[in-house]
Amino acid sequence: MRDNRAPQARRMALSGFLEEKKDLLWAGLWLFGISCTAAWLELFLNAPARARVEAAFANTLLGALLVVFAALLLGWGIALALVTLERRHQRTPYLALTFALNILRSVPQMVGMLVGYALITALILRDALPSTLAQIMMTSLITALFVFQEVVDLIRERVKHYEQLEFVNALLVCGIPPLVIINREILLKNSMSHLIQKSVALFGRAIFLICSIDFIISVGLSTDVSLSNLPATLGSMLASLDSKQDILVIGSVLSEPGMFGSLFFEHLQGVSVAFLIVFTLFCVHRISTGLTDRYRL
Amino acid sequence: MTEKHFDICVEARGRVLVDARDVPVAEGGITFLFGESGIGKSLVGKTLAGVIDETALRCTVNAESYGLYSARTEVRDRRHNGFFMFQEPSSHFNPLQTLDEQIREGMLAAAKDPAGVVGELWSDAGRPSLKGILSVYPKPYRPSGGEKQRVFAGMAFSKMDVLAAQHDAGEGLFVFDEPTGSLDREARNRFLDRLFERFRRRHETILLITHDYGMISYIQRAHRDLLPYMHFSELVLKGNVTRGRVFAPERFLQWLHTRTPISVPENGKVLLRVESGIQVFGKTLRFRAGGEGGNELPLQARRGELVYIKAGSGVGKTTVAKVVIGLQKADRFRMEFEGVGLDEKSPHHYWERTLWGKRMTMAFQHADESLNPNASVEETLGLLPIPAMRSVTGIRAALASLFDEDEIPRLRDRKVWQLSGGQKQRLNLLRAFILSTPLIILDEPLSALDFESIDRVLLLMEQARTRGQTLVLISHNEDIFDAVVPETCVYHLGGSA
Repeated sequence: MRDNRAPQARRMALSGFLEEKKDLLWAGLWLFGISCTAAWLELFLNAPARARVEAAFANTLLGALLVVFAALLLGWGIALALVTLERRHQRTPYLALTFALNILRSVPQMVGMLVGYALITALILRDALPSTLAQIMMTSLITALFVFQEVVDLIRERVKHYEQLEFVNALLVCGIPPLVIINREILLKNSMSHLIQKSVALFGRAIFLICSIDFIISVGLSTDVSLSNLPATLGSMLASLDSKQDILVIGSVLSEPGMFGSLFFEHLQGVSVAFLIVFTLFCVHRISTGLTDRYRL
Repeated sequence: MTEKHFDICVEARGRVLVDARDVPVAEGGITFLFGESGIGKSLVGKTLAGVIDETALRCTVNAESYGLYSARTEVRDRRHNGFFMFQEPSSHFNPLQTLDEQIREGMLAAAKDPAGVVGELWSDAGRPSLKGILSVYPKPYRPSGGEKQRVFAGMAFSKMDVLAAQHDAGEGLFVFDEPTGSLDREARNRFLDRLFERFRRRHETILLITHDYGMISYIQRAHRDLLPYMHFSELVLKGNVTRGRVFAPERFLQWLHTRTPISVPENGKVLLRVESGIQVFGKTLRFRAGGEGGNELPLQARRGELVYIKAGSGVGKTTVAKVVIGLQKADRFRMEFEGVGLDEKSPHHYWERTLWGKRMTMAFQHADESLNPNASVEETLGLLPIPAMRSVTGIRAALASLFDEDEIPRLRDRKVWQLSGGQKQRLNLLRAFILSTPLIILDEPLSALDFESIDRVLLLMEQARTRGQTLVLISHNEDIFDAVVPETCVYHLGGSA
């Protein structure tokens, strides 16, 4: 008689693995979804439009990654500065820095980013940002300015939590410098999962902000600088006339269901851009909650 | 009295938490279970008592599933007619009820005077404060650990009294898991007296899990008549298997007997002098010689001296240690260290830049909290600011002073969270000794250790002292340290509001 226990055990192990590591499951689903979309576009979207969608997707992801990188760098540095000032009881610089951070915190992200984009426009007009990469980096830096405080809050919270435990005191009285304790013992050894989860959440937030702001400014920034001067992103692609028409067709499908099929062949640019944004944001959200569940954060 | 042996295996998510073989339980007798912390004594006790959480843990008892084991009539009876005194009383008490309400709950409602039973565990002088303690809604920090432990023990005693009054009550199992961990010797002895008094009335099956080998000397002194009803055993971890074996009490007594008080260096230079009357947390803490009624005097430690601070639970021994080492700000204090005067106004950075890790260090009471759980043993020692810890051979040599040679290769890469409680404690102490600072403060250095490790730690302390290092010691293991530390080096700490 055939023994069915081994495949059953494998199935159970796999389902247990997926249940426990939902973040990996959703990362895999995202990659699969993006690959399928790429294959579909290869088959059914014309080459110039496909190249624009691909460039927009790559720029958006690169921009979001740079936002995460910049936010981590800024957040880490400022959190360390605050913790050090607090430890040394240097009240005046501590209060000044906290005040500046609170002012920045009080600015709505969208408003701040719009002001930032105005700055980018000025720089482009003066030829200070000649390359696409420089423009993406500047855009990311501005976005990071309005999200990095989440990293500051997280790091300060982790440091505070560990300062309540004896292990920080125990290390201090062994002569270990406070910055080594914070960076190595608290953050790298005990907060990596928190930082990864925060980075994933920031990545999603960055995509959302970049797409939203590009969509909003599709009306143009000045007579000389418009979306066509800035690097293409999924947001700016969605704001293009072709894509807007494609998106409008989705509404028409409700009154004329027969047009549903044409969405995936004739209106592919707008639909695929909208799908890439929504699908990526959804998957990133699930990866983030998966990490929260896995590491019980 | 019949002796039964159990093989117990407990797993969680496929990971074996404890695989204990030959765990002895003397039915109708008192079984003492010694052994290093973290090797599974509590889980063994919980399994035997039938209080394991089946949804979280997979468990077998003598190769029988836990479900079948705990459904047996005798196990159900043992649970119904028994009591489990958890190691951490906070996990048992309901924060939404006062302690007074909780000592009268369930079967304890039939007890004649539960508050009186609890009161038996307080000294005559301390008993008036009990009313205030019982009116409290328990929180992690209130009442103190020692007070909660005594209230909890009182509940177990009330249940014993209720069962003794019911002549037809079945046999129960009373498990006391580290019942005296937060008590000083006097309170511990009072607990043992009351427990044995009840045992004399009715021979319950009692399992007493403890690290306090000092109980043995007290039993020899005060309760010799019960020795035929007592079984002394220890759990020892060998590889991945924990084995129960007989622990001959004579072994400890002989060892204790051969301890001689260490010599006091004459005319040595005074390294540390702490004035009595430290004001902190609204209390004034004073040092006295020869007990509570003794003369007030400053704490003074010469180079190469071992100074022992004694006090009841919750008086403030650890607080004093933290004030001296600069981790706790006092409202008023004065000390002199290596000729430099320090007080409450001294800048914090003096300790940080000049003293910590260079001139003084401290091994904290709870190794669990003092070590980074996600660092390996090698990383823990490698972080220390000493060149010897940069090499594998240096780390190996350091570990050899408190660990078995065959244990070291496996241990080096292991994360702290994977170590047993005793291994953590040894690593915690080792870290302080490696630094070779002129002053080392040791807060409960023998907690969580088995007998062999205690011996090794004492040897390490003696070596440090011989090298000229000064040790300031805080410990509940009075039986051991009274034999080692000369009376002139003992300071009794008392607090007043």
